[in-house]
Amino acid sequence: MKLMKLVFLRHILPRSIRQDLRSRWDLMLRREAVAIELSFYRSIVRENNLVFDVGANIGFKNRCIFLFGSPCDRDRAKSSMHRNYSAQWC
Amino acid sequence: MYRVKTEYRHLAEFAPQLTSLDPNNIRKWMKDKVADVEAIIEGFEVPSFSPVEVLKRYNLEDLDLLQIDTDGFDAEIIRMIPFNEVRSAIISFEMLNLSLRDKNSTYNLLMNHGYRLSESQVDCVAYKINSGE
Repeated sequence: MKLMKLVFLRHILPRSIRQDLRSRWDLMLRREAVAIELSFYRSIVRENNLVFDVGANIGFKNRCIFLFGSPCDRDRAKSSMHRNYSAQWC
Repeated sequence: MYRVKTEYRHLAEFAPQLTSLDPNNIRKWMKDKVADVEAIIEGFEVPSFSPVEVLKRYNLEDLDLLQIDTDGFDAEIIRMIPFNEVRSAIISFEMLNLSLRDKNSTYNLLMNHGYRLSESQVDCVAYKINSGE
């Protein structure tokens, strides 16, 4: 959470610049969150592990977990996440 | 389960993903977005199976990781786990939405079943020290 810790610095910026930077800042936070999730699952999930994901939403955690599974699982998780994401947002 | 009705999902970026077994979670997140929060919540039914049923159905053995993120219902799900039948080396759950009472009871339950706990800002990871990693 290195970026999140710097969030208090936004108060030193003028409002106009803050608003301009908000979307980029959000994007950076999202990328950081993804990196943290990947790092977490990389440290605990091995190929052929049996994992239950209770409360899977669009399948983001599924996708992170399956990144460390077989290529077949990776493809299935990727397509499943795209399908769910499209169903909710499009 | 409960969710935000389709016609109100534009009210917040996170609204389409807001689904919970506890309608209070929807109320908590949406109360500032609309005057009558009750009008935007709908209940719906989904087929469900317990962890034991799934393990038996697919002839599976112990879990390596049980990942739980159910917007405030995590403690209830952990309480439902029959620890003598379902063994998971690691249980990861979201403790951010838990009340202090639920958090304490969940931690006690897991520690009584031999788990050690590690907290991050949002999640808690319970692991067994003899799980090999």
